[in-house]
Amino acid sequence: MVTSQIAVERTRPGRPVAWWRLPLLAGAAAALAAGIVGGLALLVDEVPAPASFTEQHGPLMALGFLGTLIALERAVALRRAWGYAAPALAAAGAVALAAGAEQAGRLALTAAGGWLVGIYLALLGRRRSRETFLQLGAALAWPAAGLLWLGGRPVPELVPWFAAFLVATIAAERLELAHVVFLRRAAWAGLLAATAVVGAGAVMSPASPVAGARVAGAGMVAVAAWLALHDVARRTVRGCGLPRYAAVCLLAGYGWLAAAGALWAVTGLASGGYLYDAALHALFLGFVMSMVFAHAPVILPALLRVPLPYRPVLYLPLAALHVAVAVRVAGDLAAADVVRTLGGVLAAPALLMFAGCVIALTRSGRSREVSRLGPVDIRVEKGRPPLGGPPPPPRPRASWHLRANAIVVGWLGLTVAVALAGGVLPAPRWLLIHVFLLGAVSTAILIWSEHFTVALLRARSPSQNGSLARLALLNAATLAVLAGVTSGSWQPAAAGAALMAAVVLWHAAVLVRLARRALPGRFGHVIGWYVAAAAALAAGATLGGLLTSPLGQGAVHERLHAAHAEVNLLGWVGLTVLGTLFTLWPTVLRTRMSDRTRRASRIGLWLTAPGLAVTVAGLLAGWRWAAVAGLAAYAVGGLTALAPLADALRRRRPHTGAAWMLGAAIVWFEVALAVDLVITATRPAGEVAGALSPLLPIVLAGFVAQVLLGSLLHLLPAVLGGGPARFKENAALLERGWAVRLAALNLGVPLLALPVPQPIALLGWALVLGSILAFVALAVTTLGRARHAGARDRGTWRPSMPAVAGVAAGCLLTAAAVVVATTSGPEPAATVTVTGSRTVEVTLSGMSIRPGVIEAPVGTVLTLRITNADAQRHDLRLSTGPRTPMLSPGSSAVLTLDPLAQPVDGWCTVAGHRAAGMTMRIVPTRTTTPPSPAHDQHSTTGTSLAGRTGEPTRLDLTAPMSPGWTPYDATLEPAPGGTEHHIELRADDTAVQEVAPGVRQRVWTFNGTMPGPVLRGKVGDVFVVTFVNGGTMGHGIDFHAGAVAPDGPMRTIQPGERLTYRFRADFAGAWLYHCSTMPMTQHIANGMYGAVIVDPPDLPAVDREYLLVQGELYLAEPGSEAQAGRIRQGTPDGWMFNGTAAGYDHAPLRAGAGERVRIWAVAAGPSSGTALHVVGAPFDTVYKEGAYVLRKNDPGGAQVLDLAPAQGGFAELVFPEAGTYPVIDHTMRQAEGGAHGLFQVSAR
Amino acid sequence: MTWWTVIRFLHVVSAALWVGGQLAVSLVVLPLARRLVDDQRRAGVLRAVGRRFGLFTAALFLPVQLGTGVALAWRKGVTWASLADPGYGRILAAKLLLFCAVMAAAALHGWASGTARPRLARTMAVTSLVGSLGIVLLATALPAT
Repeated sequence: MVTSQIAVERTRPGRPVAWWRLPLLAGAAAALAAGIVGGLALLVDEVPAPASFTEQHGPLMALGFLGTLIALERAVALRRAWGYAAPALAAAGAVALAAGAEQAGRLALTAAGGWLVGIYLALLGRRRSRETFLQLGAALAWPAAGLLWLGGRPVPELVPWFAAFLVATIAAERLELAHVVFLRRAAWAGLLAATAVVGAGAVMSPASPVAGARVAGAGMVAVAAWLALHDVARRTVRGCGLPRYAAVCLLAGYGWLAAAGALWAVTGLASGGYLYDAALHALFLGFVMSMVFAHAPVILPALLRVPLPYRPVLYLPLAALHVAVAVRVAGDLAAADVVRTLGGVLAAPALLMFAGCVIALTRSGRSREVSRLGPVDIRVEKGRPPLGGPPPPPRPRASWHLRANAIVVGWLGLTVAVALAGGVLPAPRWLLIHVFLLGAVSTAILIWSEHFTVALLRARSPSQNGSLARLALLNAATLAVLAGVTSGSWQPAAAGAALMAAVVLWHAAVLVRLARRALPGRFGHVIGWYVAAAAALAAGATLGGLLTSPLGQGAVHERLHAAHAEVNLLGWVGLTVLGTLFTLWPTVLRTRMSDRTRRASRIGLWLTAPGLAVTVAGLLAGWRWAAVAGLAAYAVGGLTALAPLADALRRRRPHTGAAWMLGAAIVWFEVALAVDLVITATRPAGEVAGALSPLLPIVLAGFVAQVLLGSLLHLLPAVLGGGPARFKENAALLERGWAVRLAALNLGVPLLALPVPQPIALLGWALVLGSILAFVALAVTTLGRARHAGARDRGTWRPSMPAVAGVAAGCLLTAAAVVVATTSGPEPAATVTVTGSRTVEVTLSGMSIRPGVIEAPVGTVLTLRITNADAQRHDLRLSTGPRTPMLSPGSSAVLTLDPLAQPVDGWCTVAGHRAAGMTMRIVPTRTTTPPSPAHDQHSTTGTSLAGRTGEPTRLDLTAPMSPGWTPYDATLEPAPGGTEHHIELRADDTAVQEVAPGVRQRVWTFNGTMPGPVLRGKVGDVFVVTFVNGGTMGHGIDFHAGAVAPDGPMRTIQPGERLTYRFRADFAGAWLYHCSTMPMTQHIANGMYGAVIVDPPDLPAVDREYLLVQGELYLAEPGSEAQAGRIRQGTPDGWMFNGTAAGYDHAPLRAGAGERVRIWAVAAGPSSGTALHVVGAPFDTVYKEGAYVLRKNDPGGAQVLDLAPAQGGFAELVFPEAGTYPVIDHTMRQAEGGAHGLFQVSAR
Repeated sequence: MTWWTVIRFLHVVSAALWVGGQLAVSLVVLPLARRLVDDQRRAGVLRAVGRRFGLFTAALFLPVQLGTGVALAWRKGVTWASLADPGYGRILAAKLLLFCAVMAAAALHGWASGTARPRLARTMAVTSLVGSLGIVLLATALPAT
């Protein structure tokens, strides 16, 4: 239809614009606007919209907007005045619907559908074609839906009809275009069958909605497959311009049609909520709107006779639409409301953007019409016509190198800035290393290893887009890592590391492909080094990602760290440098290459690469001698590779700055390698990383920086090109004062590495940084000059320098003004008077800093004695500036703070530790009264408690759980077979458990867990319990489920003793067992309790069973006087389900929508019961203390299972739909104190 | 809706015209002029644009801005002493300083254009543009009245 219509329109150029059709389009636009606003209001409560917009969202979009468009297009094709009644009716109906006149709207829209059928009949009478026949079938679905609607059926029941109408109409239209590809009869039959299935689904839907939707969904998948197979889009997508754009729209749309069909078929469209939303919007937004986007540039000119020239900007709304639909469907499938809403809201700007593009392009098309271009020319237009003058010549490769190396120079400048900023930054040392190595060095290696590969193999350059993409991705990954670690969130850092590994593997693959395609040559051996180096970075980045993540913490951290450093420095940097030097070194010396080079290279690579792999494995596994052997192999390989370089040196003395710098760098490399070997041989793997850290300045400044500077010194003039004269000029400029710079750098390096006094170390920094900075300045000058010269050569003077200078000046002015605006004058805090002093012991261990909060009166001079009690290195940095050196395990440091004025944050700067929870906070209290003498010099020991310095602190239940924490499994296993159960219970009062997020505390337990193990059986079963006192004090045990005289089995036994407790479970119920030794308050409060479940007879099976034992939490050393007092008063710090406050907030319990879930509960107390409640899901069954309070078939329901201390029972419920349902003790004080968990309910 | 609304409206609109005018000239007029117009005519066109914009600045923008700005400050109770206070006063002071600097840059631009110093003129034009964006930034940072 479209093509024929276009043909008609094209044959009549110069016909006036058909403005009189505009009101009909305006009706469609009004429907679209109302539909979008309604849709937004459905997603976001705050969006104001009339009720008619939200209620009629579906009909407005499907019939009001799309129906009007289709009817109008058909009417144009019919070329009869009466045909326009269909779009007019549809537009009027849509406006009426939006305005709230629902009945009138329904009537008009239904009539429009009927009229459309009439149009098709007329078209069929004119010319019989299968497309029109198919479209007639499709159009029938519209009035059918309308009649059902008039008959009072709700909108969701109309959806299959809307789908049938739109899918079949669009398929028929595509069929028309597919004529071009000589469709066989069988193929045509296939489409007819597929659309017939969709229609059949719609027909079935009033009687059986689920089955109808499933059938329609299957049909949609078939239609999508047919279209994907036969549509011309598959060919035109390889073209360019408008056909390509349309093809991209179409193919993406078919993808959504298939996805929507699958969703319809799987869900049956009846499950409500999220899946319904996903199924609908994958179809109507993803598929139908893509089709609109594809055809608008063709249909609009046909409708209004205004040209709509194609511009690549049309891809923008297309991409936005698909991202929006993808986000929405993903959010729906994951039952994540925020994501779904985000996707839904994004779709609105995508549609508006498209509308905006269409309007803007129509305007621009009209202005071109004035310049005597007919509408016929719209389709053949390719890009913008040149606006005068010849097109600019393609940028030469040198220009691309220039820009790429500008990134390296920029990173070098940033490195200097980071070094100068020093302690101001959150993780200064880490940041300095990684800005330099990840930013400057890795970017340089990526650029140059590819450049050398191309040059040495005489291969064709790989596509510049690919190179740019890799460079951009590498830099993005670097930024993610830097930002993630400095901001203390490990997820972006780990993602950045993963991206980096992927980029570098891609890089390696490109190099390998280049080498395979190239003719065999003399230099092919170098590529092996580059590929090995890339593999090393992939490994190093993976290790780095692990280091930042919670996975890599603990004792393994140090070994990971050592392996990470070795593989990156010796592998990524070292192997690249060695490989490059084979060719670079003779070039720099201006001598020929040694004859031994190839052999040396091969042997060297075979020794270094496997040697490095063995080293890394050895360090990771903690096999010292494997690591040493690997390192020795690496060193031997390195020496072998350097042998031909020595040959070259013998022939020609170094005479340029570049040669001297490279030579000095190699010497530092060998020195570092030797020291590394000694360190690895003399330390266990866990201490290598710490011992290596003084070596870093040698490697970074002496070797890496010097190699980088030396290479750039040599390569930049060559890359900048511009003839011999300019080459000389550039080289001279870059080499200016090289001897001084060389001397400064190489004098500075040992000063940084050796343990010299502070002022001399500062001198070292000044020498090294000054040398680098001098190079950066010279390089920037050279680059700037080359840019100008290039611009001059092209004859177009681009006055970019003034613009840059202007931007810089403006930014400086603004920055100065902002500084004036934000700096406050004399700091009132500076006048804080000293009110006292206090020493606090701070312990670093287990990914936490204890105490987590220190409270002190304003003006207190705090002295922190920081001890690293962990198996890995940590430090402590305070937001006010002071920081400890990196503390190895067991060592301590003292920080004295300024008089306390404002809250001070502290954290560990080791990558990933801040994110893992190693933070603390010093809070000034507003009590300015001088502390009592007893409080003065008060020393707080960081025991097993976080954040307790005198006053009890509130639990932070939203804090992350410690790494490695596993929740107590709440799943209740079915009763084991047999009628006699033998169990051993062992009292253990030394276990440590995470009782609240980030808070680990000693607890008293049965079998090491609080609560103790669950015993389950049937009525009449016999339990034989062997109770062993494995603790340090007397304990006993009391089973409520059994009937025995307490004297014997419940007696207190001393450590090491045991007794046998035998009882028969005569009564069903959920029973408590607990320690029977006085004071029982303490024994129970500290964790000595558990549950015995005796199933009632004929307990029906359910889908899932969980058990929650609720207990009180008293933060303190168990048995201490302070704790005992608060237990007596009954003022717990928190409440726990299964031994962790808010534990199931962090590890939600799982269930599926529609599943029957039985939640058993026992209130252990000691003093408080529970009012167990599930938010959003009433109980239909409640069993409490041996009897059903409510049964499934009763008409009533229950909201709470209430249990006094030591009572038990269960409640059953069915989760209505996917979502997150809190399970809480509705005694709200206790819920907010930790008796709170979540059910994560997935869709079925 | 009081008369103060009108004064604030004038202040904001005239600032928007000035900053927006600069942006439009730099981002829209200049690139197109460079591509579409030959060298001799371009110089003429750009000089005319510059002169018109300068006229607008001196005759309309500066008087309106200064008048309404002083009035608004008076209503707000700003005194010379309060300009040094942290918060509103200091941000306003920084904004005024930046405004003076931008006006100086704009004047320099006019002088450089008139005396055939194209590079200085362009530098100053961009300085003035970026600086005026800075003024907008500071204006948005002023605590709400």
